[in-house]
Amino acid sequence: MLSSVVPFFTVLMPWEFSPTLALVCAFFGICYARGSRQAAIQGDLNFWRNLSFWSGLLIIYAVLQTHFDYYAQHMFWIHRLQHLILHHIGPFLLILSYPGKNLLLGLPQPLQKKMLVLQYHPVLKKIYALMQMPLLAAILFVGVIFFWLAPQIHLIAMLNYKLYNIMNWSMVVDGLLFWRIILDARSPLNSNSLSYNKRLFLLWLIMPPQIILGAYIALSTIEIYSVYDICGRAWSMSPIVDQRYAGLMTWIPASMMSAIAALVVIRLWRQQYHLRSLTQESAT
Amino acid sequence: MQKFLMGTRCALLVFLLCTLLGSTACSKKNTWQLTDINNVMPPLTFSLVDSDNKNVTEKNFRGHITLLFFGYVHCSDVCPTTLLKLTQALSKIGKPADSIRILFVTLDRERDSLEKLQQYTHAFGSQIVGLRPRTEADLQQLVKRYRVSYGQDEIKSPSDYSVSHSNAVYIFDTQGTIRLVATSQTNSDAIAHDLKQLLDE
Repeated sequence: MLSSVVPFFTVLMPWEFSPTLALVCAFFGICYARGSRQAAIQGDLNFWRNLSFWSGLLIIYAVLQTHFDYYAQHMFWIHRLQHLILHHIGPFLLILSYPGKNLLLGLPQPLQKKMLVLQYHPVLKKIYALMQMPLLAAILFVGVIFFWLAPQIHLIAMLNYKLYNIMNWSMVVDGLLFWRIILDARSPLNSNSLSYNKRLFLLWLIMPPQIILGAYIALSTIEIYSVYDICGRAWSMSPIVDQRYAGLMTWIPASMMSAIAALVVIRLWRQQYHLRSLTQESAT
Repeated sequence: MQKFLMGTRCALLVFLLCTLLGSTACSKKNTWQLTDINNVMPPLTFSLVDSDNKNVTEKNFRGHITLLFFGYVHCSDVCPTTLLKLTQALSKIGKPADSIRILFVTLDRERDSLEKLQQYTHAFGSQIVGLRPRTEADLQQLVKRYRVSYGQDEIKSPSDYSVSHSNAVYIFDTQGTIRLVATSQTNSDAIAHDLKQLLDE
């Protein structure tokens, strides 16, 4: 095993250094840190939101820019765990922290204004609106998983450095777009955010395809993905056992995220209900 | 609701696009028996040392179909069977295969001296070239380039261990472009078939 020949600290170093990813993570990290400090000065200090943001950013960085990536390239089930973090857990935590305000606050003044102007750019607004169409977002969410797991495409994506990076980026971006719709804190009553029952429907909708795909991989008795045989596994493990774990990873924790997100949606729904009854009471 | 329906139309479009992409990727006409990875990985590039302690690079093999395989002399199963399979494939092709070169890169710099490497490769055939990286960093760079896994396993003592490694054989054409990959599942007939096709190009 690799860990037997490399000291512990090197395990934390990037396996394949990506300047783009390092820069993007540093940019968002610095902006958020500056913004949350300013927000704290203004009396808006939220420990849980900060924790959610930092853990989301950290796990995305960790699975891509440490030796974890080596294991993800050489073990199918670790690759599935990597994508679970990149698509389901990391973006979920980032969106759950509602980082928009802090990120904007953290930007230098001239950039802040530019960002505000950019929000109203007609083309960008259209693209964003398209990406935020609920059914399209749900199909894309499941679609990227199926697309990158098509055996021929998976083989090429795992062997080609550029395509491998595109695959990983697509998982993160798509995750952010989907969870943005589901975890939107704005009430559907006074904004164009999606109603809570439709959010729950979307969360249900993405479950069966992931369960079917996961079960198909887990229960298959033949090796579907040859790339791990070509490049070699990180340690000795039977291909079928590796595939079974990978299938379970696609099947159970991925679907569990829908259940966790549903709890958050129900909480938002209750909050809205509570606020509404309070305003009605004060009105009467 | 309207938002929902608009989304359905776009969703359908994306789905059709994905299906189309997927089907073109799968329906590509393929006469190869090994896995076709034409241009998927970087071209053949390396700087290693041969058994005469001379620096060898990919330029030395331009004009030759080159097979790249990583292994180590003490290997008890994967390496001998793979090298045997490759030499069998070459003998099945006969005379035209004389220009083909098999590069055997050692993953065990500690134990595989240049002499041992030469004895080992010559035992299998004259077309096999044993190569050794100068430093561990050189080796790391090369294995990363071709996404090859390796690591010490079952360590009994500092000089008694095995090296777990990929069993892939990467096949490059005369220009150094990656074309095919063979694994332990492939037999010598399939390798001979594809090498013949490459020679005929």
